[in-house]
This record gives sequence, C-alpha cells and structure tokens, in this order.
Amino acid sequence: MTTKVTLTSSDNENFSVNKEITKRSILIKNMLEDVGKSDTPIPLPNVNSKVLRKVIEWCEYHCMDPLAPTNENTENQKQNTDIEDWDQKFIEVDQETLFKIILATNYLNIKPLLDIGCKTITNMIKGKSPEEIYKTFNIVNNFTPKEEAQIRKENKWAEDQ
Amino acid sequence: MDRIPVEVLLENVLPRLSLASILAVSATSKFFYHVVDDEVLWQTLTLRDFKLPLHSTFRQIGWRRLYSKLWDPIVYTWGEGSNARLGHPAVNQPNYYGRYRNEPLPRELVSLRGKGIVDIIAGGYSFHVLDRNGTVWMWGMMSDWLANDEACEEPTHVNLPVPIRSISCGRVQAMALGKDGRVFQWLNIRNPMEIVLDSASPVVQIAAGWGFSAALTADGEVFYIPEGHHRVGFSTVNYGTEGENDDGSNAEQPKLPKKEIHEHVTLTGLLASTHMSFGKHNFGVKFTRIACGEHFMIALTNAGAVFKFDTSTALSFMNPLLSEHLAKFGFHTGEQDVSSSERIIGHISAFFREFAAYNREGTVFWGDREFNADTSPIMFSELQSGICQISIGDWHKGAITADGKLLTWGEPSAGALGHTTAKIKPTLVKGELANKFVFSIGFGGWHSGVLAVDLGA
Repeated sequence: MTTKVTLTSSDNENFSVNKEITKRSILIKNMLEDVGKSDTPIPLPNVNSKVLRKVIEWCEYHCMDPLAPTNENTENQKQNTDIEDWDQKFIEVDQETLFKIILATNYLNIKPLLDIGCKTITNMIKGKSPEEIYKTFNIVNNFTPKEEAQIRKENKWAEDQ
Repeated sequence: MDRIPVEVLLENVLPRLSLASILAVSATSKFFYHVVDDEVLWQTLTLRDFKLPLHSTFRQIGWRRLYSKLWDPIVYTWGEGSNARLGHPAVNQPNYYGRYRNEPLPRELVSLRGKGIVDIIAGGYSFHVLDRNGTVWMWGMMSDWLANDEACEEPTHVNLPVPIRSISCGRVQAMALGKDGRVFQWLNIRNPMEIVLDSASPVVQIAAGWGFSAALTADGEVFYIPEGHHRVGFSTVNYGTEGENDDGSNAEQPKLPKKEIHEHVTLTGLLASTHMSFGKHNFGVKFTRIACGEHFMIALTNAGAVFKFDTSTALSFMNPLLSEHLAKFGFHTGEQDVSSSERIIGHISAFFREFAAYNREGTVFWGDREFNADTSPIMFSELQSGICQISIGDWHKGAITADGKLLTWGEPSAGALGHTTAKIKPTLVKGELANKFVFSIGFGGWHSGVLAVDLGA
C-alpha cells in the first residue's frame, strides 16, 4: 500500500499525493523527515492550486527519473537549453503561469523543473535585442537616452570585430 | 520577468545565455542593469568562457573587468623564427638565417588582435590557437622536412567540420576535440582525419605526443592513437561550413577520412594484471588526465597517482609490465594531510622527454621519461607553491604563477627562454610582460607563446 500525503495550496485546496512523488520536492522531503509519521496536511502558502496541480502533474510523469542528476561533467551542459518533448509541451503556458511555476519550484526546491522553467525563459531571450526583450516581457525601459548611450559605450568591448 | 527571484536569474537563467544576450538583458532596464552587475555572475561566466589555469588569482581586478579583458587577450610569441613559426611578418631582406627573424623577448602577434584567442599550444615547428568561437588557427609548419612554401606565414584557419572545445599538439601532429565530442587529428592542416574511438563514454581529453597521441574518456579509458602519415599535395577540403550557402541548401559535405581506434587501457585493468594493487597506495578508480611526450605517456588518476607508459608502439602501451606507478610523485607516505584535495596532484604536462605533475597549491614535481617507480622527482625551490600552469619546450621550460607572472629556465633556445643566458633556476621574464597578467602558456621546440591581459588602468 502506498502512503499518501496531503498538500494544501494557498487557496486552501487539498491535494492527496503519493508520498514518494512529493519527495521530488526537497522542501517537502525534508519536512516529512522532520515530522516523521503524521497525517497533518502540509501547507504550501506560496503556491496556488492551479500551479500546484501543474507541479504535481510534472512530478507524477517524472516519478521514475533518478533522483540526483547523474552526469554533469561535460562542458556543453552548462549552456544547454534543450528541453525534452514532454516537458516542452508541459511548459507551453502563458507567461504568468510560467513565472509562477518558477517561483513555486524554487520554493519547493524541485531543481529539474526549475531548470525547465529557466531554460524556457532563456530560450525566449536568446538572439533578441534589448528592445525585443522588453517587448517580450513587458519590461518598462526606464533609462534616459543619455544612460542608454553610456551603456552602449560600456559594452563596446564585446562587439565582434 | 522582474518577478523571478534575483538568485534564480543569476544562477539559472543568465549563465545559460551568451555574452551578447546577457548584455542585452542588462540594457532593458535599470533593475536588470543592476542584476547583471554581479561579481559572482561574472566569475561564473569567466570560468565558463575562458580556460584559466587551476587557481589563478586575480585579486587586483574585478571579475567583470577581467572578463572584458579576456574577451580579447594579447598573444605573444618569441624564440626561433624559422618555418614562420612565430607568425610575425617576414623581413624584406633575408639574411643568412632566412626570412624570419628570431625574437629574444615576447613580441605581440599583432595579426591576432580582435580574434578572441582562448588557448595557445606549441607544436615542434608551429603554433595552434583556439578562439572563443571554437575556430582553430595555425601558423608555422607542422614538420620541418617539407618544402618551405608549405609554411603558413600568418595565422590560418584549420578546416574542421565542427566548433572545437580543446586542442593539443605534439611535435608534428595536432588534435582537436569538438564541442560535439568528435575527435580530429592532422599532420597537415588541409587534411584532418576523424578519430573514432571504440567506447560508449564521451571523450574528455585529447593529448598529442611524439609519434603517437592519446584520448581519455569520462569513464577513464585511455586510447592509443598512432601518428598516421603525413600526406602532401592533397587539395584543400571544403566542408561547406555554415553560412556559405546563401540559398540555405545543404551542401554535399566531403567525407572526412576516419580512423577507428580500439587499443586502450584502464586503471582497473592495469592494476588487475600487475602486482601493483597489493601495495599500500591508494590509486583511485580511474584515469582523469593524460599528457604525452616522446614515446611515453603520463596518466593521472582521480586519487592523484601518477603512472608512466611506454608508448613506442601500441603493443608496448598495452603491456602492463612496461607501465610504472611513479610512487614518489605527490605527497604520500609519512606526509601530513595527504587526504587534503589541495595537495593531491591534479594536473600534468609533458613534452619531448620531460613532464611535470602539480597540485592545486601549485607545488610542482618534475620528471623525465627515464624515471622509474623509485625515482624521486626534481623539486625547484621556485616551484614549491603558487604555480598554476607548466609548459615544456625542447630545452626551455616555463611556468606561470597564480598571480600571472611567467618564469622560465633551461637553454636560451634562439631566444625562446626570454633570457640571454641559460638559467638553472626558474627566472622571471620581463620586457613586454612586465605589467601583464599571463594566463596561458604554450612552449614547444625552440619557441614560446603566451596569452596575457593588461590589468593596468
């Protein structure tokens, strides 16, 4: 028989989840180890039900993955932004949800899913000019023209010759 | 995007981006300008994008400024000028020695300004360098028995089909490890060959030597690669590199000749077939670094044990009775703190008949190929600590210190020493390098090369 754990979202929705699956979150894993045997629901005040449902869906799909990353010694992985097919479909969400998934996985400490969220952001930035980046992310450019000129001057060394 | 925690941006988003994208992010708003202005981020980027020696210290300068300097460092070459090996322009009036002058002191190789060189390696009569885009450049000659018109007078692209991660040179051959893990070897820059290893494990290091080369996999297998033949008179191969076909068509790429390699050794295999495993030493579980000289190879294990192999032929390389554990290299019996990772041998270099092993504290253990299991290493008082890279020419040797100084010793070698008279002890090279921070060193034959940055105001 598998043990279940109850997680409570910020909007007070309860999720009954297989205990092994919740251990994908290092935060929850540590909490469970601290409290020992207990039926008390675990409150997650930083995660709403919509995002928590998404995160649980991801953990259930990846329940067979090895827990620790196995091989990170090749140089290319540092700049690797490839995302597997299933994860790519999973992360095709609106920007608001994407940010919330990143915040939630950072809080819950689920490194592989945090990586997928961050890679997605990275892929949205790649190859874009500052103008295209602030349009993509609705960033308010609060530089004066003088400051912009100053930044261009500061970064002159990086222009390819 | 400003709702993502700053530490997530710094650790997980920005380090995945190219320099151009990072600077673009910093130019979007004041908030992101300040996020990007983070010393730890620039330290990460510096270590990601440049090959800095173990434990360099750049105390006098911030990481962001250092990064901007390393983006386009100064290349110096000096020593014997024949075969156009220094890359400096020929003189108009050839004298007795020919068209290429010897240089007694470090001289900037002006033609490489703006190229973003990240590594420099000397061959027997040449230099090879790697730039930040993964392109390999070469000048001089791969061997001295060819007609002089085979010399590359200026830095010239080596025509390889993929971007390169690292390069290595022996006397007359060079090797490159592609960013995709493929291995290439050439004795003539127009005719590279692909080396295919019989292993499922990715290649982590290549090492070209004299008469042979070697490659190391992540699992610790060391492969023996025979030198091959120098082929002259072949036409230049064009691989139809990206961007050359404006119509976007996939040009038919000529096939690179391939050589399959099976001969390899592992540490566990070696220990199982010799009496060595019964000794008192901790050998570790696998080989983690290799270095090749003239008919010998040095291999280092993850526990810092140093082994020497006879590489005269593939058979001698495979013969466990001809390999030796150099027990006196490193801090072992009777020493305190042998378990400290700072003291374990972590790096090796070899060229011609000599080799060096050094640890993270920068203590250097020196040897030559005649050494056996019981020979004690040569210890220099100047190389007791703070040395972070070693390179060896035929008769001159060089070391760079953690604070960017170049020390040389040995024979003057047509100026390659950087001192007018022979030096028994490692001695500081001044001249152009006096106010520079040297971070990469490539010595070979009778010539010397370094990469340096100017940390002045």
